[in-house]
Amino acid sequence: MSIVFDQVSYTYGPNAPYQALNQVSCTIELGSFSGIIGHTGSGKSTFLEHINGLKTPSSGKVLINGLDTSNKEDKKDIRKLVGFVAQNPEHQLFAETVFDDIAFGPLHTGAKEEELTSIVEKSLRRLEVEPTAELLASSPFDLSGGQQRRIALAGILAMEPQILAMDEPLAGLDPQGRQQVLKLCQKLNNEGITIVMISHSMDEIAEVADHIIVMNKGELIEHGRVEKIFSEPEKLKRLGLDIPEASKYYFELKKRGVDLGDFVYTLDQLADAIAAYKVGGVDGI
Amino acid sequence: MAFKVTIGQFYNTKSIIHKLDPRIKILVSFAFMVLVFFADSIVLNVYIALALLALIYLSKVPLKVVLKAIRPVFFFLVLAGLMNLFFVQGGNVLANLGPITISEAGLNAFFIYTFRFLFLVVAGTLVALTTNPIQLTDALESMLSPLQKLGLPAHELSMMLSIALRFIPTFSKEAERIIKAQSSRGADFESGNLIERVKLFIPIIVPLFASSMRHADNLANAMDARCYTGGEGRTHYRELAIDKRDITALIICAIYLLVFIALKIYL
Ligand SMILES: Nc1ncnc2c1ncn2[C@@H]1O[C@H](COP(=O)(O)OP(=O)(O)O)[C@@H](O)[C@H]1O
Ligand SMILES: [Mg+2]
Repeated sequence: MSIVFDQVSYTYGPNAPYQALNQVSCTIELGSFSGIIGHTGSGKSTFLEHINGLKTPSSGKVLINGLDTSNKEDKKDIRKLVGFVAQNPEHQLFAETVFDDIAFGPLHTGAKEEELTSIVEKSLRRLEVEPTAELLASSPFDLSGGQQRRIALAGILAMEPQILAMDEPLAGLDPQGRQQVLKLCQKLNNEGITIVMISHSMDEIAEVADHIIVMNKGELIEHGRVEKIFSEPEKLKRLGLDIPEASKYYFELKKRGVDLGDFVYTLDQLADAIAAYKVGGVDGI
Repeated sequence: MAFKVTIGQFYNTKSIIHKLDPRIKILVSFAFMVLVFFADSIVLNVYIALALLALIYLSKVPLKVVLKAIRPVFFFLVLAGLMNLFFVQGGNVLANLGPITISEAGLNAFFIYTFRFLFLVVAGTLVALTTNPIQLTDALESMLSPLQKLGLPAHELSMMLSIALRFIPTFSKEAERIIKAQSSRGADFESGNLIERVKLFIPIIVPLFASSMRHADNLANAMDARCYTGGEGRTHYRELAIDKRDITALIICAIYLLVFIALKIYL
């Protein structure tokens, strides 16, 4: 059971300078947390839209748990299986009340009226939002940006997806909001939801992802575990991409003769490694 | 569901027609449209058609593109033509098809009105094909500005028009994104009965409306931040100016008009 891209190509039109996706093949295991990185225009969004069949390959195949996204009969099942979080998901809010907005997805995928209340409340709780009667009855347009994003996410979670495809879910939030949403994504992943997330922040990706997909000009350049991808900064640099701050410190210290041992890519790991470092029996650097 | 929107019909070939002052193009096309109504003989109609063909040739816009641009009114053209053919009676009866009679006057009206209508549409289309929409709004402002003294907000009108034009592609992109987002939430835009489909417009229209409000707000702020104050004393990035080319065009048009009058009187 997994997400499989088999030689997937996608072209927007005859005038495109290069294919938006060019012979992309990869397998994303269920339960994993994959980060997609790459320059603007490298095909990240196009890749993501293939996961829930919003786009279907010009050539090649995308299989979600064995279901072919090109297959029209499977479309509804795939949409239920894969939740798609568009860039700025709060821009899709439309209903008069928070409740109606969150209930929109389940209603259209065959949930029963009497289940709706419990579905809506459950999805809000999963995002650590207390589903008070007041909130449910308020207009989504009256909420703050961060709250709106959570309501929009709840509307997607309400469909109980097994996979979440997220296009820059942190963009446009303040640092605190970014951390909160990031933690929520991690929590959802721990609950068993497979997450594929596009992000421009290497630090944030490093914190939550276990796999990284590197895209460039429509090609999948690399796909591997986080520690492997970020331990090769030259490769990323050639594509104009960076590595996490923590890893930069790791390499800089190494250059100056301080070997922290195992490679690190998050600030927590870095702090632990520095704390554990001993010079000639003396603690610390 | 795909949204593909092209703004206006502008087809840039950088021909001399494209380079003419938009005000000249608008004025001449209006005058030409009036002229079309005075063309009541075959010779005059041929004369009109020749002018249009010459203009299409000079504009370097492929005939195919022109035909495609007038396709939306084609049905109307045929319908109006047939109505004339069947319902205008007079002169000798040419054919009798059951309850329908085609008379000489009907056939005459069929030709005159169908072509008259076609000429009008082609003349208007040519202006649209050869003039950048932004230039059109500039021309509109410049031509309406004498009315400003009577209280007509010429600058504001043209500003509104150009902002509206500017945002058409933005909103078509936005609509596409919203449709994607809502179909990811199980909205099915491809099947279902009419009522279901109409109901599905709400999840598209409301976010689109919200987004246009956001854009309007942002734009207003951006304009404020650049000290935009409206029409009084504003200059343009591209000033409209009548040059030699425009004068030449006007002279040619005047000669064309004189020949038209001569043909009308002496033929
Ligand atoms: N709607 C579209 N029409 C035409 N070309 C597009 C469209 N969307 C994206 N592209 C092109 O496809 C390529 C990949 O785009 P995208 O997947 O959006 O990249 P990313 O998300 O990495 O920025 C780019 O070259 C982009 O210009
Ligand atoms: Mg993108």
